[in-house]
Amino acid sequence: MPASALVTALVTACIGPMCSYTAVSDLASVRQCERMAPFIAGLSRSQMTALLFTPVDMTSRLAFRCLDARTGAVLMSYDSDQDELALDLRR
Amino acid sequence: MAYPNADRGGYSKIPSGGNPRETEAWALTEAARRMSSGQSEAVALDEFLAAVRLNWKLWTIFQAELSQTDCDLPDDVRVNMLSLCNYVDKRSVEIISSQDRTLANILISVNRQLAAGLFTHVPVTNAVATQSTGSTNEVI
Repeated sequence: MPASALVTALVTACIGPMCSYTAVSDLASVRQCERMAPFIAGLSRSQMTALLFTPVDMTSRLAFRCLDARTGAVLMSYDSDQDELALDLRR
Repeated sequence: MAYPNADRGGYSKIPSGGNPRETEAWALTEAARRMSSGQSEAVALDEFLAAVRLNWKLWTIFQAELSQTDCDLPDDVRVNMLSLCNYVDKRSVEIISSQDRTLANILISVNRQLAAGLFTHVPVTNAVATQSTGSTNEVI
């Protein structure tokens, strides 16, 4: 992928029964998306904790997709429930 | 060790450096630990309030970094972090003025969740990582 291409991260962060869904655009690379996603999830969980509820069930789930912002193609996806990372190897 | 007699500020384990992300996660965890142990009635109130102030100071540092014009974080994330900083500010003032130890529960939880996010590394195999690092950009 060219260095100028932009990536969008779609991040699902759950704590206990509650999940939040976040889209962050303008990431510079898949690598940045991959590194940012857990941080974005942590930030989302912090906000849920601060604003909505105090969790009793502390089980958490992280799932994210890194999309090519131009085409919408999925460049990378991850789901901690399946604990595997999938990558579009055509790129 | 370069400074064997340096004051470690009561910390038993300090990150070796070179990884800002892990250092931030450690600082958040340590601040949460101090506030949590300060919630016990056996601990002097001053000590608990000192832990809250330390945590507040840490968040003020984050706030200052996020307010810099050269901050590398995407705008969405930066705005979210700044709103969380604002929340921590208000909550810290509330705790210090009311001296209610139970109010720190949320700050402890916020710190722990954020630290967990910073500590998390997606398990990428070397082969996959090679494929995924097509760009030389590395901001975070």
